[in-house]
Amino acid sequence: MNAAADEFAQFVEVRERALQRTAWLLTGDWALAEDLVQTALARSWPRWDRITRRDDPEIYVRRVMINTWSTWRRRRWRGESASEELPERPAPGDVAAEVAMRELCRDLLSKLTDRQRSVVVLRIFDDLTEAQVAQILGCALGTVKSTMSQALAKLRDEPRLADLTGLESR
Amino acid sequence: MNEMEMQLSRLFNAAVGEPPKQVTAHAARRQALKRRVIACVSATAALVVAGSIGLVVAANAIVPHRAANGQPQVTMPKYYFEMDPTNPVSGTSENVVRSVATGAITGRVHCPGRSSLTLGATTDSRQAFFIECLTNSKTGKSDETRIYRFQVSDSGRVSGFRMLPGGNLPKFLGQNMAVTADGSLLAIAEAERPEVLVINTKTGSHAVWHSDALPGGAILYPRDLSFARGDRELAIFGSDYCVSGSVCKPVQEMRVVSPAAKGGKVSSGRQVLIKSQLVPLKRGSIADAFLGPDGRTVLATVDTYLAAGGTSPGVRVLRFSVVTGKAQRTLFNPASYKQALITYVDQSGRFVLLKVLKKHDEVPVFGMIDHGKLRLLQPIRPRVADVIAW
Repeated sequence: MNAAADEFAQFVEVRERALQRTAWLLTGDWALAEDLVQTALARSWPRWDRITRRDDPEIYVRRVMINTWSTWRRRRWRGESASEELPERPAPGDVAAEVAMRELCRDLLSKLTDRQRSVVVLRIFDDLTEAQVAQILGCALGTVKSTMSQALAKLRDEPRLADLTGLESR
Repeated sequence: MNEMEMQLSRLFNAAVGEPPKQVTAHAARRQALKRRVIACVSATAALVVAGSIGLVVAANAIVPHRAANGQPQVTMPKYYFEMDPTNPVSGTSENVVRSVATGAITGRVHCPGRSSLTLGATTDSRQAFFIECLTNSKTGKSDETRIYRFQVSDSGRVSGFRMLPGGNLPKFLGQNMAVTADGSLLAIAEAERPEVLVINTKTGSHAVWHSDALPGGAILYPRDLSFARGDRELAIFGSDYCVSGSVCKPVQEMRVVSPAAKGGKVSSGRQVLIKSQLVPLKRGSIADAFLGPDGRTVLATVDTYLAAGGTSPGVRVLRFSVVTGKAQRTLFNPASYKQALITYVDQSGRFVLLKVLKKHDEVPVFGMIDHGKLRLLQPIRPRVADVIAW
């Protein structure tokens, strides 16, 4: 039990930031991203022994995260609660450029379906292989490829992406 | 990764930045514990609610009293059996299984031979039915009885129709039948001789209860049969007939003989009911009488006549206490019916099927007694059917 707890703590310490970033790309909100990662870890912890024996823990946690996010997306109420304090902290540096970039990123991803967004984030941002993405999403390799292709086709039509990155539209 | 994918990667990395807060293993483990506690509490609450609902439903459900022999409780039968021995179209017996709820025919039984007479069923009406079929002997007279066994499935279909071991009865004209709750014994009355045959349905062995002369010289001709206290007691109800030359008063009575499977003389049985306990000798008669499964009560139908006319102005279905020797309770006292016959009582004694005739009708209808009222069987229509059972 202690060994498992140590291993779990080590995994969280090393991977929680990467997981949170992925979660932000899925949710578009840091508070939700934090909740999502913590929920995914809380759901994984009771089975940690089995996970580490049979599976790659990161793949498992990411799978739980994607499934949890899909469940949240299906819910009308998203678990938000009113608060007197603003959750976001003031950011240093060129706020306008950062905000513009972040908004663009959110807008682009919001045009995609849940599954397309998951594939794009896992494949491009997390740099996972198509096989790993298929394993996380529980679908066939061909499905990952076709979903990715459809997602990129949608993004290619977005002129703001071309403006920002200098990428020429087709 | 192609160029567009690389551009997207750069965009994502630039946009994401650093998470403002850190997720710790301790927080995750605490949340996991909280989830487990909530799940346990929810499951317990769900169990309590489900248990409460179950108790309320069970308390309100129609559940018959438990048989004294500890047999499983009997629920409302889903199907009933309609037997028409005189079908003019086919010339043979028309026996159908119908749904109690809708009256729809769910199964048919073809009685090999000329006609069918009576039917018996075990506690769980689907477990085993026994049907009595009459066949023509070489003389052209119906004097051979064969008893068949079958099951009725959950969907009301008939299956497993086969002859009962020891069920081939040459020179035997079967009449009424009774079956023990577990189907191990079957009793059948002979129509022309004062005797009751008891068949062990597993081995096919026979035992006979002979009606010999009772004190006073009368002989009891068996009509209604019923088992009580498991398979230990057999109740025989019938009318006494005076042997020619003797001086006796013919009455109706019920005698209980035991052990049922052994056979012997009916006169050795104890008398549990005599007509005068229910109706004055010249004012009416007992139409049917069945001993309850606990052996303590008798379910009987009593017809009362007008003093002079001899017509039947009243009919009552009542429960008689063997212990006190008095009528205990009137179960059904219809004003608009001139005749009622108990066609079948299930093994629990709770579900009683009646064949009733309205005062101005010629064709009877069938129904069950439910809290003092007659609930007509679906389809509600006058029927030429002779026997209805479940």
